[in-house]
Amino acid sequence: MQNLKILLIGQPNVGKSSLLNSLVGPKVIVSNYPGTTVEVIRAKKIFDGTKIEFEDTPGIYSISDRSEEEKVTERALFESDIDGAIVIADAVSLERSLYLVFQVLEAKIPVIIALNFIESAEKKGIIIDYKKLSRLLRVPVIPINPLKKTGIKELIDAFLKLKEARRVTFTVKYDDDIERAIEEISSQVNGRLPKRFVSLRTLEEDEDYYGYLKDKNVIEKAKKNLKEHPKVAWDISINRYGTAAFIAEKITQLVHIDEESKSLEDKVDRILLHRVWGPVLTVIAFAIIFGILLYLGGWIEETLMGFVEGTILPNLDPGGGFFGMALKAGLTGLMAGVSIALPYVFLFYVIFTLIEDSGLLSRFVINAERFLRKLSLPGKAIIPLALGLGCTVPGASATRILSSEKERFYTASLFTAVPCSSRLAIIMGIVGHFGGKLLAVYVLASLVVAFLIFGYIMKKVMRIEKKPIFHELPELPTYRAPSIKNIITKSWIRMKSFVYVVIPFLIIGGIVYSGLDVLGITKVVVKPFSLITWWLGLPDVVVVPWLFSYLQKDLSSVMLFSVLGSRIAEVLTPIQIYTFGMATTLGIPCMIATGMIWKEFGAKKAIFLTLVSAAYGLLFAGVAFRIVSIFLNRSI
Amino acid sequence: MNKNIDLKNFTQQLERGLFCLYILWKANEQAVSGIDLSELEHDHDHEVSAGRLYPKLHDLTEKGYLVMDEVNEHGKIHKYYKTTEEGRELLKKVRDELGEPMKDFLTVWIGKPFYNIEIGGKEGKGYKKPEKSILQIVKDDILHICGEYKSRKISLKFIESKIKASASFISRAIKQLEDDGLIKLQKGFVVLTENGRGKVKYIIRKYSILEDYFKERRDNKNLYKEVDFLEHYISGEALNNIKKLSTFDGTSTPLEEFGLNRKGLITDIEFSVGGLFERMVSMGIFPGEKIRIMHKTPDGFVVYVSNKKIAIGKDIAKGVKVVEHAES
Repeated sequence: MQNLKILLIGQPNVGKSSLLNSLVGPKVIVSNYPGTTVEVIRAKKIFDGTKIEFEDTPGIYSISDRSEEEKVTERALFESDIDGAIVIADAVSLERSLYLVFQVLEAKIPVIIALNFIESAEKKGIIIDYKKLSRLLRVPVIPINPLKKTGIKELIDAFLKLKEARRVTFTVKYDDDIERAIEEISSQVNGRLPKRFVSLRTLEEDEDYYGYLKDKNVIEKAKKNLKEHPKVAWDISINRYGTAAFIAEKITQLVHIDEESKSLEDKVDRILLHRVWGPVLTVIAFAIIFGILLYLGGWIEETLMGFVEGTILPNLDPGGGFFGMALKAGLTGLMAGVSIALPYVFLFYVIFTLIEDSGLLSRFVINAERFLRKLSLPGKAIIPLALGLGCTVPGASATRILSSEKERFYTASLFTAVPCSSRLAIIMGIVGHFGGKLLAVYVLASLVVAFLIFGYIMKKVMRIEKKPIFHELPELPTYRAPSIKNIITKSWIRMKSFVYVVIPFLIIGGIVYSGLDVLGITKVVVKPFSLITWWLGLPDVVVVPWLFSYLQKDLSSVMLFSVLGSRIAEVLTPIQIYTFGMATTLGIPCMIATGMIWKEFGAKKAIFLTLVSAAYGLLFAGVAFRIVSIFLNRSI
Repeated sequence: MNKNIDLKNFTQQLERGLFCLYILWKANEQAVSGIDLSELEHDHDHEVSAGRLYPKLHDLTEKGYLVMDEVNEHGKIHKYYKTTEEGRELLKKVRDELGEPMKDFLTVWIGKPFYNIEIGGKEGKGYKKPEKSILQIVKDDILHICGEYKSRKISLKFIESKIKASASFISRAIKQLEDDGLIKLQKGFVVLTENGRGKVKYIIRKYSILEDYFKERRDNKNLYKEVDFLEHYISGEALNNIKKLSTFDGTSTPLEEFGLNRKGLITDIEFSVGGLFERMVSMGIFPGEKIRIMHKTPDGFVVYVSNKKIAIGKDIAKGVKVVEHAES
């Protein structure tokens, strides 16, 4: 069978993932927030006896090495043997898309242009002669609409013909002096990459490509002859964009159109980006998410719990013996996962995805920039942090949208004080339920303080530099009506890791605990922690639930229940409930999260962060309970 | 035989001759459209009807004294005319034939000294003529086409479909190329000679529009310098915008100080941040592009550029220079 490997490339939010969805079925997250694909997603399908492997890359505007997205895409372009690339172009701003097309062509990769958003362009009065574009660039150009699934068949036909490949013949021509410099450097290029491409990248000061040169001095030599171009990298960009604009204009016809529909969006934006209302509405939006989670999530939880406790557990007779107990303990763990975490996690992602797909999230990101800058973070850091409110696992992987490794790890470290749904369950379920709603608010407020202090310390320790505001030039996509199917699919993909990883953990944790309990080990374990219980002012009974919180936060709740049952409010004072809440919620939430950070940043950093954040959690909880007890004693 | 001269015929001939002279003169200075010509005429209280002008332009083009270019401006096709080498020769001859009184008269009429027309050479008032005539450009274009479509046979028809110039003009260009030993005609197809191939290589590099786009950017003051050349390659809006930029030269303000909802054109980007520049350019923040500030936030702006909304920080906005540009 013939095999083809095709890369999907395009600007952020141009419809790469939607296209992949309509090519191979719903496997990819599609959103109306630029930068959803943070790693290469692979999907295979057989068309007409040819196996085509697609690689969906993160959205980029150009091939340069500034951000993680660009690096990932660049690697995908050169490190895997691809047969060609589909560049998804945006008909609304064609010249921008062509810039990227030119760079891919410069890399001598056969290109098929899939032209998306033709209808939106026509609404704006932009009519594109795509056949002419095809003639000018000598590459196939196929108009597509992934939502209506038009153009897909034509696109597949174009893939199948890709092997009889037309070789790339179109090149952007630069200024004479630059062309001379390209020639000069080309003579020194080693390796299998196209010489012209490497020369251009080196002239554009992309140090990653210096390694391909036999003699690096050739760059300086070539630049010496470029007196007319003191900033040759700029001139190359300008030249490339100039060609893109020139070609785009040649094939574009503008028709005057009333700008009515656009003005509604502008009106909404005027409020959402207002200097006061913008941030206020952003906070309100997140408050609404929490409100919905609290009430709707709480209601779902209670219903499920009621069903489990009232219907399933009484009718369950696992029998005696070790296995019986283990089965019961395992089931208790499973129930905790399904009934506590699931409603919160799933609901959270549904709401979050709704905001993301509608285009609102990008506005919130703009508003968040102002405040996250205080922690030297770009506005888009709000995305991993907000995802972390659901579960740290997808949150940690979403840090990839940030541009540097350093920034990513810094953001990941902040998960220490960003309560995930399991931690929220402790705050709401244990602290709120047994210590009163006010106490839960105390814990949440303390977490905000803990977040700010920890963020500030990490910023200083890691020496995070402040960058110019909006230095990534965030784009604001047009508002779109989100599709329900898409939201459900996406929420499911996001919580998949939770279901497949966290819930088994809960079951195993439950069994392990009952095993320890049966063997009477729990009592022995308590002893060495007397120093900590003293520091936190907690009774010995909470040691095991607290320890289990490092495995999985939901286990703490489960353990505390199984140790104390409904006597929690009798055994623990409100202050002790508060301290327990703080001590279990501050820190990297669980082993699974540590594992995720391990995967993303390596073992050293993961262990370091887990230990540091755990120590910080204990320290903070101990100090905080002493301060809070002053307030509480007064109010009680 | 009629002793009296035919007065009507005489004035008609005089008028016709002067009119031709005028057109060739103006079109030699720079490429002109029919509208330009009729407007220029207004300066001399001289009404020129389209009915008279266009047949004359057509006639002169047919005879090879003018070459015509079609330029698409806002979807409308404008025809631009430029005096050819032959037209220039004709002008020279006329100048040499005419006596002093006639030259004086023409100086008044045209508004410029008719004595020192440096036809084909440099002229005063800072307007530097392009080094190439349009015939030269057409010749180069033909070579360019030969180089670009190496794989196919190049017929005269094909060349005509690619170049916006009259057929007679193209055949003259081909004749000259043949005389220069750059091409051969084989069974009606144009084939490059060894010399021709060398020349093509040079042209393909030399002749990118961008080279010029470039030069313009760096030296706005000399924008009109090679306007014919630009008009030959760049059509429509881009050209218009470049022209506008040249008029606005020196008055651009930083985006930071630009008012809300005002429409502007980007004239320049000044930055020290290396990678940022490519990001900006690839997002359409580029000299010549339209820009509009949609919203102001406390520390930045949301701008509308290239049909997209993008947030720009204040620091970056300082480096983006814009000029006011009402939609035409």
